[in-house]
Amino acid sequence: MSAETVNSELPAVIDLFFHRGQGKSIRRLQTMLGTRKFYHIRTFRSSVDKYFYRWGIPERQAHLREFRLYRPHLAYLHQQMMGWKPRTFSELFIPGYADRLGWYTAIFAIVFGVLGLLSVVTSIVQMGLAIVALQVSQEQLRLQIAQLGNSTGGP
Amino acid sequence: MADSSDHAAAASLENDQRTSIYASGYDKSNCKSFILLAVEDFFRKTCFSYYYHNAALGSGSRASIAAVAFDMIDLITYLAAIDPSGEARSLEWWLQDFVQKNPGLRSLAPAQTPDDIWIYTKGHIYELFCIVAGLRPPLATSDNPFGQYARTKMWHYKLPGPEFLVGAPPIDPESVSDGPIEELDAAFICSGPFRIRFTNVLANNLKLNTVRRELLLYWEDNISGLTDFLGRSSRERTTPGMMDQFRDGHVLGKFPFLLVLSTLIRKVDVCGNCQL
Repeated sequence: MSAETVNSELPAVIDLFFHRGQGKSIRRLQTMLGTRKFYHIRTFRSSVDKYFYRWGIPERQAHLREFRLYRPHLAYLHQQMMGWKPRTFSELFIPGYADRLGWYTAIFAIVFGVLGLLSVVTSIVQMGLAIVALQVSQEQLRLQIAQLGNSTGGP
Repeated sequence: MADSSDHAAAASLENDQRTSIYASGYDKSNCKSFILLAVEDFFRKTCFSYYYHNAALGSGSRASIAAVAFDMIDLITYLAAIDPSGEARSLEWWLQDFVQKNPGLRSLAPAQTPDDIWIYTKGHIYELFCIVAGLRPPLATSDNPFGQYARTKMWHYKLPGPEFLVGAPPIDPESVSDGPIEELDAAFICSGPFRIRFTNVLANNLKLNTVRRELLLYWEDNISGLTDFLGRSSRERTTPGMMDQFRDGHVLGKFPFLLVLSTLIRKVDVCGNCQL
């Protein structure tokens, strides 16, 4: 029935997920499996096998036409990834898959906005403190003048 | 139905797990041992439970393992006769048809009438189907004694067809147009909102839960070994992967089950339970 197709598409899915991206995904897999050793990862060919059999193994492309049975699953996953939008406040800080530049720009703007807001608050506090300091110094000056008047007006 | 010797054997099986057919005695690296393990586990852990389908199997006495095994053989014979190019029908339809065509199933209590036999036996027949089809039977938990959740999920899967292997498609396959899927890379996926989690159920491969933001990826043996040994990988293979079975042959793929069945029947003979 479809067992042979599934059998051929499963390694293809593993290839798609973990065998691209200059080893970043393989490291991710090792982290997920809790192992740093390649011989623990037995289900699919390792990069060593890939090196030895690089001429014999047909390279698959990351394209939906390579898949028949898992095609709707992959298409749905792709569609959901690309259409993901944050729905809660905490999700605002998770980068989506589509338009990463926009997310980084927004985060950059938020960081600078927060910094700007902080500087405004700091300025207001600073101004308040300056006013208080001015009042204190004025009071001090007034007291000094009063003290000076008392000392000159004596016998 | 079983006689008193069967009951004695059944009682010893229930009370003492280390019998002559204890599941750990098999060579687990042999993928064909999967069905034997599944049959024995089902028989020891489920079939003798008092509450397990006592309307269908009887509350006073239960059939022997031989009777259950021969019912499974009947089911395999029936499934193997399905025309791969024929009309796809739901699992419920096929199993109901099987029960109607085989009214004298050996594991059922004799008091069943043809009209209500399906109502009482559907859960039991589904368990038998899960075993003979090489699927993982639904896990029984304290909240869910007979895996009802998984059972209801699979009733509508179609046969013949790939649904039992790849699950129901999340979107209409006809509506999918070709296109690049460069973004489907594990590192990129994990850098965003979705997380990848492994599953050892083949039908759950690439299933996406958008609420939990979790993508299930089929992975067996390695991960089961890792969890068994608390993070350390087992050098020995654990239970054979489902894909190994499909590679070597499978009832859904018209596998000639004679070898497995002859082994099963031999085991039944060794137990002294075979009355047929």
